[in-house]
Amino acid sequence: MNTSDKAISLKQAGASSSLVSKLIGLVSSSYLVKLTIACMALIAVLSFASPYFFTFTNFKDILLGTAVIGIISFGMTMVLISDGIDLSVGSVVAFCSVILCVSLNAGFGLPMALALTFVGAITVGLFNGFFVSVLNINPFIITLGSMSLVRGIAYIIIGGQPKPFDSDIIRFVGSGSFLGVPIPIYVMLIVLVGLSFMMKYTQFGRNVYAIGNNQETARLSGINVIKTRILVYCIMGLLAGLAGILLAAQTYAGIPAAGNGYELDALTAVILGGTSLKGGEGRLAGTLLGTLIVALVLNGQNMLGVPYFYQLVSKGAIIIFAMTVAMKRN
Amino acid sequence: MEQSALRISKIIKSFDGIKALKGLSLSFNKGEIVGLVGSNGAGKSTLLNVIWGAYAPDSGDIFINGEQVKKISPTKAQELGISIIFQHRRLMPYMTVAENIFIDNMPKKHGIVDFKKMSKDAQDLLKMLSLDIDSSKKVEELSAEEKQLVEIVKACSKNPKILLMDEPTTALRQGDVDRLFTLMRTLKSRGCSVVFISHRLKEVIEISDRISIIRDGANVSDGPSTQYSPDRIVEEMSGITATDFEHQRDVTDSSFSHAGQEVLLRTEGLKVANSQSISFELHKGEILGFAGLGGSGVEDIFESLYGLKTKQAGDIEIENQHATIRSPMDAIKHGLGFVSEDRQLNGEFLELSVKDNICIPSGQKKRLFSMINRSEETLAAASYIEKLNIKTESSQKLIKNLSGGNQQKAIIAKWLQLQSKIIIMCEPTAGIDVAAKSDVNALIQQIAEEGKGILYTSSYITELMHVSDRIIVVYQGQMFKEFSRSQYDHNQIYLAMNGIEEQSGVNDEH
Repeated sequence: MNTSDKAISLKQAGASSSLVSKLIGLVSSSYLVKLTIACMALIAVLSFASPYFFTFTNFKDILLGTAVIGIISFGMTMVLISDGIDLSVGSVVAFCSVILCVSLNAGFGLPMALALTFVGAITVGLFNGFFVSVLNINPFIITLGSMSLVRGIAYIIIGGQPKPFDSDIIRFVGSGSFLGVPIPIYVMLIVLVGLSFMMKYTQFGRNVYAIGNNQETARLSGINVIKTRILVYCIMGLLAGLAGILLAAQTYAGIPAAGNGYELDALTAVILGGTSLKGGEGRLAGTLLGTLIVALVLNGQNMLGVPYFYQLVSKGAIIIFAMTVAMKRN
Repeated sequence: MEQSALRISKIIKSFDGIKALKGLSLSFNKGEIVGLVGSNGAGKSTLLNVIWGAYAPDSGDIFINGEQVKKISPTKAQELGISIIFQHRRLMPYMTVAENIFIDNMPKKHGIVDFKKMSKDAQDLLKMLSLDIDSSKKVEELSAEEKQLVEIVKACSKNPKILLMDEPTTALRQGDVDRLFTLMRTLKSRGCSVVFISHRLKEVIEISDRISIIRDGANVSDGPSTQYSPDRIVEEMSGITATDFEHQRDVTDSSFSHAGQEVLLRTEGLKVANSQSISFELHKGEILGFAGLGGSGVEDIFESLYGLKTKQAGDIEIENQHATIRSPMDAIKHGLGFVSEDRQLNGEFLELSVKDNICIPSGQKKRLFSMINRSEETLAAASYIEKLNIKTESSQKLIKNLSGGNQQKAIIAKWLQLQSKIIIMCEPTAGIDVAAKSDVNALIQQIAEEGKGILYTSSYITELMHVSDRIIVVYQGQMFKEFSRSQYDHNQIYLAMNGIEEQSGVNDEH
């Protein structure tokens, strides 16, 4: 009787404390609130500036345009939280679009081709993870190397030029839609929800935060640091592979030059979304907003007929702004 | 009357209202080596920091060569010829010996560094001090002793008249200090005065001309080192005289002896780093204290048991089963937990909640992609917050927002949550305030009573005696002596840490 009373009172203590913590959480997430406001302000301004902006078709296009980079950015958020970085993602996109194309053209069925593509993606992830985690080499250096290495292999496999392929199902994934919404957007949202759930509610997700926070404490607390970090790079590889399949599905081709610079676009979105470069901190919701803001800025400029060169300048400005804000927040 | 090279008089210095130095005086002559001795917290380091100008004293006077120095700052101290060598080395590992020596004073020619002259100057300086070190070698390639020597040479490049040394031998192996002492004597012969802090009594007596003992921020005694024996130094440092001994021995072994209890941990001939033949047993419910000066090997032993250092030989048995421990993960599997000396370095996740800090180790038992049981964890965290009296409004609060003592309790809680049978505690009260210290120590005794086995070490002997049921003293990597509760004697333990056996005659004199 006594002990159960105690348990109940403890439970109540836990409940009331979780209310307090929710309030604290709301205040500390003010950066997310600010991002949301920025996003809405941007939409408002652009709606006034261009009559073509505030339309269903345009929003669909914006989201469709963010599907590939969004998936990569979500993965990159996890990598950054683990106090790592993966610069090879753009090359993995190209690599996987090439594997898919070549294996389909070689007469493998779609399931086999997809399997080969994911094997390719996870191999790169294992490669990165092995060097970073087992040999403990700086992830920036390793993935800078694999970025070039994987890109080179993609060119070697396909022989320099993009090659077309055909598959009805892949074609549907790339350009079909369900309830008026393009399939890639669903894919992106599924990845977002799945990854958010994993990071927030599983042991693995918490271990990733813990390792990013303090790797030495993580090791002394019995976390399998090596295994966890390898998994982080493998999941990143898989997501980049998925992004590659989506890109191939949208272009009906294996393109060895695809995904060039995606690593930097993803980093921009992640850092703008409030994830710390020092590891241990970050949220996928922030990354979603970061991705959207970048897409809105670029789309708005297109609408307004701003030349591409000026768009490059504004993208650079966003990166610098995001980094400055990130550093000041720390 | 011979003029003192340095004389300080009635120095008072307090921190947050607590007096660290209570009117301390000290003076020494040109070309004299003075050994400054006192327990931890006696004020030795504070005193050195006052002399070289890092701390401004609240009151008191400083005279250099008979002239009063009003305001002393590190820059001023350097101008006056005072140099200091810290406990922790501050050399640049990837630069050469010569570059390190002249790092803030590189010889230049036409505005660029004259490397030829620098290396020649360095070589000359080393030769003058009769040291056989290649000045073009990178510092990382040197031995621990050579690094310490280079640190001193660096200080000597400024021709100091007074050299302050804060535990220069702590990082060195006991007995591995010959060249350091030769160098100190060379400096002495060149008219430089040296103030030297060390816990190693034999060394202090050997090298010093004069010994000055302080306790609780005040002078106790001062005189030629020939008048001092280790026993006398320890007695004066601790303020406990032989007549007090009987008083302390007013305990029976029975309530502290766990000899009949089941053995949780047994080591047999453990060899790690410079320690060897380490064999002991830890019983259920026992707090086994380890005492040893810096570099004695206690840390190596503790870390090897937790898989942080590789043991070269020997056997570890846990609950009478042979245990292979190569990593913390192995150690945890065998029921071990570890509380480190430096919380922020490797004890806690500062940016995570108290709940996560408590529950992460036990969570590792589950499958990697299984869900965290939130309600169960919140309940567990809340129960530890209550049981260990951790002061926090909520288990969701980030651990960094708690006070040091409460952070340390949460760290201990994580091993309780994991149900570790043996907890290794390396200076668990380091860096927390006095009230919290006794709180944490009481907690450690409480969890031992509940049946855990605890390996404990503290650099404060009184604390060690208070907490431990039994103390093993490690000297030069060997188990030197064991004290059961009834044999506890502050001074004898300190002497044993210095490799000095009890001299039965001493007690009888009183």
